[in-house]
Amino acid sequence: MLSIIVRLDIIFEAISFFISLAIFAVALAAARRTGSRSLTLLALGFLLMSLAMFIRVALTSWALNFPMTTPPRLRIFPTVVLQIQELVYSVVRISGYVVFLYLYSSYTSSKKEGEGLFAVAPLIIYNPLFEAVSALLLAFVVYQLGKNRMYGGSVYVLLGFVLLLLSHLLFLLLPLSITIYFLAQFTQLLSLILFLTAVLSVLLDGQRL
Amino acid sequence: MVKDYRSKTKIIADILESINQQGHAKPTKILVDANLSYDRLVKYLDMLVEKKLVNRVENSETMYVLTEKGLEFLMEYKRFERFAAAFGLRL
Repeated sequence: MLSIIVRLDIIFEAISFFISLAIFAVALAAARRTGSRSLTLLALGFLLMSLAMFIRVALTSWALNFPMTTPPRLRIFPTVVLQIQELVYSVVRISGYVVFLYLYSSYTSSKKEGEGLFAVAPLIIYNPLFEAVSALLLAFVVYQLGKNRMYGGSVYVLLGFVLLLLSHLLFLLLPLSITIYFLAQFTQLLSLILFLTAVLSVLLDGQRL
Repeated sequence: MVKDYRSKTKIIADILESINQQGHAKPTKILVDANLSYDRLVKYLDMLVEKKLVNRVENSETMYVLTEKGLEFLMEYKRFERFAAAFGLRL
């Protein structure tokens, strides 16, 4: 059962990785052509998310396929790698959210308020409750993005960040039921699909925005 | 913090947009639309002519028209602008 869950996790994460990488590529191309710092930060945020997902997919796949024929002393190795992977994954992913928070807090109407909001981020990124930290950072991102809707941002992107926030809140509720795990993973995947929809809407028919 | 200043690319896009809207544009009108001083506008227009993004037409008065390359640049810029707007950002 555990093996199936982990394999499903890898599939979800792999799809999310490709979507995130695609958004990074478009954002980077746009940043290079326009020289926009905001787009560079957006690209960096998605690059960090992609990197975190790649680390999880690569190391979890490796651990799952670790040969059972190895001497008993070495069988602890995959567990150690998975523990380190979880830590690195969380730190890299949270770094991505910090980039998003920095980016969107720069767009606040009140500069002082934006600086104050960003100032809390470094104090909380070393908290061991990574999901809670992610959820908190994303709550700030959603708040800023909601406030900045006056600039005509896509509803897909706003919903994407809301679903990403929801997925981390669901991960916090994981002890209640294993079903929540799938729901959280699916919500996360859905959020990235919404980001991709926003990008494709622009690339294929910008008028729909 | 990300500074809210107008990049060089944005200024070029504003100039090209002004010319595109008018078809044949006078420098005085471009100057107002792109919100530039005369000296800076002349520098930008010389650069755009050199890069073949606009053509200078000399009749009774100097006019500027967009080239195919200029139109492509403007369309691409607008696409990236919409991409940024989708993520709640401005270029």
